[in-house]
Amino acid sequence: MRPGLVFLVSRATAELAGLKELTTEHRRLGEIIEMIHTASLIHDDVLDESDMRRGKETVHELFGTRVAVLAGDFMFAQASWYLANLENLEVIKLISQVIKDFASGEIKQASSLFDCDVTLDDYLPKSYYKTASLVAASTKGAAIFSRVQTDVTEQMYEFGKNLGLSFQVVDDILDFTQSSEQLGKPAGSDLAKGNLTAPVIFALEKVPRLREIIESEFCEEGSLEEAIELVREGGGIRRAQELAREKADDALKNLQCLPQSGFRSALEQMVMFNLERID
Amino acid sequence: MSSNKLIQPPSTTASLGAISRRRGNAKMLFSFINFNGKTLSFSDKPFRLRPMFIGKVTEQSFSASSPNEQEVVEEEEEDITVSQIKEELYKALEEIESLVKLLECRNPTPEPTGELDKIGGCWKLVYSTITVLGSKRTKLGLRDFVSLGDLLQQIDIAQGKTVHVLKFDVRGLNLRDGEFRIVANFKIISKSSVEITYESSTIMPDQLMNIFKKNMNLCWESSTPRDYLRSHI
Repeated sequence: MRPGLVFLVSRATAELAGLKELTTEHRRLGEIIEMIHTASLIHDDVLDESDMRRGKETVHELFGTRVAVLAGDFMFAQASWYLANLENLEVIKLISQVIKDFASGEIKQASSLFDCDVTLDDYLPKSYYKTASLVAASTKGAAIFSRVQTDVTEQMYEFGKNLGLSFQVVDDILDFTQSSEQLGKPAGSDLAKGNLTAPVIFALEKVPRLREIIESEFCEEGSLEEAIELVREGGGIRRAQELAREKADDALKNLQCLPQSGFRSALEQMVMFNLERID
Repeated sequence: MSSNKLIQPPSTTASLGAISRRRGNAKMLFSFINFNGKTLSFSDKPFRLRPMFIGKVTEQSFSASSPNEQEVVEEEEEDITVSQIKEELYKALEEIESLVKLLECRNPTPEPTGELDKIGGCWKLVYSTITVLGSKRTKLGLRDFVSLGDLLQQIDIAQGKTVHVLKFDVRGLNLRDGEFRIVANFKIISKSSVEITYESSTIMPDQLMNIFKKNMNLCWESSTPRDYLRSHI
């Protein structure tokens, strides 16, 4: 999805600048973004000790931790090299920031495991660091290479950020609502690890019993299932869906500076497609 | 007296959460082995236990598990599955807890504050049902950084003082002899109870004080001497 976004934003903004074709920089940006994204997934799976991703075995499950760590490092390194060779300082800083943000997000998450006092003000920045930062950097980068004006690149940044946040919230909802076959990994896995996401944060406001169960780290038999049910009953899913829609609406607004075109519509559809996952 | 072996409770402070089972009201039971060789325990009243006495108690409550059965269990160790082992573990825990309760009822010292010399000295925590889970566990670094060692308690009757020492390692910092000390005073207020007032708490070495300062109250909550002292008195 991410390279697709880069190309769509490239084309949608190119019109404003009178560009006819995608540049090599645009293409390279798409590759770099995807490499960084993949590297982060490989490392995340090591940290989370996940053996499945998208219905298949993870890299470290197949090849061991050592290979997984090195593969991730390799991809981050290669991506950084290609980025530097684009020789655009603004884009270099933008994307380098993302790699910093990945680490910040993971650390933030690890230091607040099972902490029932987390609020939306903790969750949103964390989700930004983990997901939205990369999307925002890629959409802004694409606009920069299209040579459009600053107010447009800033809008593209906001678009990427809001789309990224909406996407993360939807992911967090699906962790509750989908079955393990659909998810490609066990359901409720975020919660089981103590990673408290939007649905849980909302439900904790209404259901005191949920806090007890989480603080006990689900040591009682059947308590994880009970917690998932309580999240549902406490309106956690519903309110998280509202949050996802809110961010999606913000993303759509950010697109208004772009001229009407097939590309702009495609971007709008990407926003809507993300929401359809939770309808 | 027959020589039934008393199953030694494992020193579980290092494995907080490993054999954890949450109760409705987190009950705390302690079994302290006095370094002077006396064996004392539990919740409300202290008393002196002589080996003979131990034998008697085990005979009564271990009617089902004779030495023979124990041998059989050992032979079949390889055939046993993980869930079976867990079951045995939970059963053993239940036995420990019921033994503890049994001993409580047999306390020969009904007015303990008159015989405080029985609990003076240095004690080591051997068994506890306390678990540190959830956000406390995360904030105290117990997931990735800190591993706990022994919990010692020094009771000085003459000065009316107790010093709790919780030993820990922080392998990442190459630190082997960390200590969390809590000093408290106690004052007799009735024939069977004392009032405990907290005096100070420190972490050694100094450098760690800064790291844990923010979460000092969590450290304190997780190892409060109030409850540990109550288990003697």
